[in-house]
Amino acid sequence: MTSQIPFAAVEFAANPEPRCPCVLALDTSASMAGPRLQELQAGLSQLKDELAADPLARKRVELAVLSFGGSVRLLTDFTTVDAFEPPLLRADGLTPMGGAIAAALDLVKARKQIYRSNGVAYYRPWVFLLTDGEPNDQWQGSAHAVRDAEQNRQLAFFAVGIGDANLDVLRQVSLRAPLLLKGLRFREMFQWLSSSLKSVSHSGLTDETRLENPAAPDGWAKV
Amino acid sequence: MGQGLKPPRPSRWNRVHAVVAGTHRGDIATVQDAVALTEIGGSASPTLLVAVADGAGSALHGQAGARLAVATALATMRGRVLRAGRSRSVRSALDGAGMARVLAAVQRALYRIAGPDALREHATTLLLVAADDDATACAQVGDGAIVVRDEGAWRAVFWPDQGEYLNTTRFVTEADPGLRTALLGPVPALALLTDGLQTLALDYAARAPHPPFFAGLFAELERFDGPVLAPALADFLASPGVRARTDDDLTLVLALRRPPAC
Repeated sequence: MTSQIPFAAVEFAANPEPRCPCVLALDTSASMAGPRLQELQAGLSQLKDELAADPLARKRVELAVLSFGGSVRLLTDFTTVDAFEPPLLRADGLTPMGGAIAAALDLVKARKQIYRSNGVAYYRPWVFLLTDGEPNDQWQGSAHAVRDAEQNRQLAFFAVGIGDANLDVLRQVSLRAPLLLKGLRFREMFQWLSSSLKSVSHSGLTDETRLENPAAPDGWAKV
Repeated sequence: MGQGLKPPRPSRWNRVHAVVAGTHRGDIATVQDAVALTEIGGSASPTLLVAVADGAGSALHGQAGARLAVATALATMRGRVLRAGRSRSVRSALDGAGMARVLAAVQRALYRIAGPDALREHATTLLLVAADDDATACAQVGDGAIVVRDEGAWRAVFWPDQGEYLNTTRFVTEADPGLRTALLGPVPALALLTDGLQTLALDYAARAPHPPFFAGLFAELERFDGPVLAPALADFLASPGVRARTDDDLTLVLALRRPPAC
């Protein structure tokens, strides 16, 4: 049997879609209560909607959500965007940031292992940390681990401070300069995150995507 | 001279290629992929030469880099084969050492136009094939794939070099680009593809070409002449079925050896 249109019968390999994993580590300590948490909650929904509207990103981007307020909780384990439901955030307690970072690194490591054993190609994982305070736990070990991992290109770590966040601590955690959110521009921030993840997940190609500068004058952050 | 009006020797290879622009750079509709190919005829053993390059998406002049890379590589491979004495053999001209010389020529050419500062902005991958009746020489820097038919099976000569992550690879502009070379016997069919097609054409779990992909493509090349097929191949690469899986630039070169004439 031959088809009329040349090449119409060519069959593709049934490779799983390559995955672009991103951990959101969100500060939900008591100080986040109120408008901050509401805006953050709305931003999460928006992130889902924007990624879901993109046919490749919805199949390739995987989100996991960790919260750290009082304790570190895995609210959502890695799931592709089309199955992602933004978890409900609740503000409570202190800021165990060191524990949250360690949990995020473990999460990424375990996910890569799953990809590898299933023959799934993947992009460099992202960890996106958001905090309005400073850690009240041991964080130096985690900071060291992040810098190590970033240097070895095991992941890309982004730290964003809100309000009175202790940027000195974030500077010691992240090799990339931490950003300070302007006011409550969570929406713009998540828009940046979604378009950055979109371009990474589209990049099927040969190298790192150039990201828009969030600290541009009209951006959502300052350095 | 004095040979009269001998009819031109028909090409030893039925070949077709297409390059289509990706849809991922909405604003910049430039293709970063480049192809150059030629056949050196007239000798006892006609030779097919192919070069394919994929300019780095993040490099400012990835397109210029890719184009210069394939033009230089083709000219250098051609020169080496023609200078290889009476035999003009791929085996002697383009073995591992020969291919290393071709890469060095490409690096020099890029350096000449870019200088030390802009070299990174001309980053590109490179796939090279030279095939005559005796041997098939292959060389590769970075990702993409050279696939040959070998004793009835499809085989990727090298597995794409992309490090741990899908969106990172090696480029000819690096100090040590990790050139890989191989000298195979004659092959009846070969294909070159850039990384945009990898997830369709290669089976990642098996780390091997996906046989139905290549069988389907070469079935058409058995039936039609390359030039006739070229528009259909470009249409195929731009078709929704392909585009649902990748929005990168796509380059595909197919060559099928013709049965020896008379």
